[in-house]
Amino acid sequence: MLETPGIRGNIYDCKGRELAISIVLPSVYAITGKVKDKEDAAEKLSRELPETRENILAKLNSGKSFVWLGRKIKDEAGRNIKSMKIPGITVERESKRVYPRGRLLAHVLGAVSTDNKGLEGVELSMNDRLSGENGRVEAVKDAKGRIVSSDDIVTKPAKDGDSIYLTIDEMVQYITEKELDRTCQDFKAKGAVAVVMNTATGEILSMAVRPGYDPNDLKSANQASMKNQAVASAYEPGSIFKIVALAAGLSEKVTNESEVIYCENGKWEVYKRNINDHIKYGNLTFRQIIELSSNIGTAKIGQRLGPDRFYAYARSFGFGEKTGVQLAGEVRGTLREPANWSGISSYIVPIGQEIAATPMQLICALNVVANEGKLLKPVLVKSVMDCENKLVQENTSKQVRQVVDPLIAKRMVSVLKGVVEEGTGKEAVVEGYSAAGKTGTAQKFDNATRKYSSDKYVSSFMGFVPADKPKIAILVSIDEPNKVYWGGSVAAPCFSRIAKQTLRYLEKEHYDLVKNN
Amino acid sequence: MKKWAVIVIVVGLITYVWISTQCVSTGIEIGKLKARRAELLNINRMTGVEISGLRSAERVEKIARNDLGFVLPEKYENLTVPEKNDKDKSALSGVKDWLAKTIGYVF
Repeated sequence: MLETPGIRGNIYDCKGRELAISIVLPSVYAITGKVKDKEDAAEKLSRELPETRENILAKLNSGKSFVWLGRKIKDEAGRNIKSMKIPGITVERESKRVYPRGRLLAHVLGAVSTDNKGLEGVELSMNDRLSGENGRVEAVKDAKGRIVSSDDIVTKPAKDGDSIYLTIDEMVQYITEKELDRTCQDFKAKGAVAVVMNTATGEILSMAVRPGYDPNDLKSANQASMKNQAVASAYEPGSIFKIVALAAGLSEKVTNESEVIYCENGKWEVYKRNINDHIKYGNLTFRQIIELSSNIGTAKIGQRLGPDRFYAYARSFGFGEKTGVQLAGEVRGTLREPANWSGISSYIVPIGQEIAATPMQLICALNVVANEGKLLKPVLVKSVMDCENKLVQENTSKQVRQVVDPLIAKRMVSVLKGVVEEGTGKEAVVEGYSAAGKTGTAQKFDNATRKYSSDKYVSSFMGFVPADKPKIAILVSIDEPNKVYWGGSVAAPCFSRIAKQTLRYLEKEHYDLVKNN
Repeated sequence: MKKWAVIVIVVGLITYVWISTQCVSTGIEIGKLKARRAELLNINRMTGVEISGLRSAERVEKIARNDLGFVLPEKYENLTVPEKNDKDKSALSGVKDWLAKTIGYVF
């Protein structure tokens, strides 16, 4: 009885470029009881295996009846060991996962264990589809141990795993990672996340996380760097969360763009706690409050809305629930029910405090504005094909709910355009296009002191381009930048560079498509 | 008669043994070819990995910038060239003249 391996399915980007491939390589094991001269065997094997003679000898003398001496070694080494014909030493072929792009897209793809089981990312979330099934063959061998193939009886055919096509575009991913690396370097940041989404379909075109790792070399990757911060980590979003206050304020008619609100000259004491603005603003219109990101002005709108109404809008935008993206380890963040709010919560939740959201939730919420008020379910796995290349599953965009009226969404776009043209997001300008978005500079909460840190920030910018007919939404979030920490100075330029290159690439793709048709 | 019967049986036995031997050796050959096929499929997969690595955007950009001296255009630059037909002959010759004057390019 022979076991025939079912090969794990491949992972491709939306254009069919290989991102994860399985190849078959030799592995060497020993039935220790059958190895007659262990010292001689260790000596010979150490010439071919990436192990010292002593290590091999220790394994052979470990007292275990079965030991792996080398797994997924080079083809040539496997052939050489087989030709040595050492009693008790067997060479078998095993499937090995290879990621030809190395570190690119590592957090989305994830990795597999030595036994080819998904550990993280799509490899884990789609493990059942990707895994092949080993088959069994009854075969007759001649006196020399050669298989006489004509007599094979297949008792269970091997089945290769399905292949996955992602919505990710390798070129957009490359642009995103390159620009994110540049920003991390420029500001010596601790970490970073960037996500690019197709606004019309909710398809994720790229998702980059720093620090990164190489899934081909898991031994040198630490566990923390393997975590996909875009879905598995929630943080206080700060001012980018003000889009919810903007939507709720306009929808509930508690304010309008031209209403003048007094911003207390930069300092407002509420429930014995100060709410501050970075500049001492007096009277501002509501439009200016969002453009200049006034905490006090937004807090006043939050107070008018009250906990129940604001909570309903935050929930409607998708906060406090999983987005449903096909990635393992997604968290739902924190959005407490109004019954658990303190007196000050109505003032500070609208400015992005006392709430935790994942970057994926934030970009989906922004996409509501870009997409005429509709919340779309994000799509990462575009399709699944079986080993005979037949389509077995296709994921298309799904509307979760209508969050705000399309007219309100249009008014929000106008205000968010103002953020880039007149407000805190001027460095997000994309040459040749109109952009809309929101900056955020969130102080990090220090668990040790139970206070907001005065020198640790998360700088963010999320926006979409072109503002009036959006094609892509982008979120950039930089963790603990040095020297400068304003979202408009750290994350906005990165947004601009990603947007410019991505639009240029997408337009070229569109042009080629039209030309070829 | 007996003699012929013995000859027929012997020839029959020899033929049977020969066919059986041929079946076994052909089976071994098929087994080897199957193994070779699996090996070639694997080589194909590994070559695919290599090709995939060579096509990576990072590598292509590095070669384009460093070896070939390519740069990204800062802006879109469009030059509308009139269609080549009788009506537009004068316009086309105007463009030619303009190019000849400004950059010294002669068609």
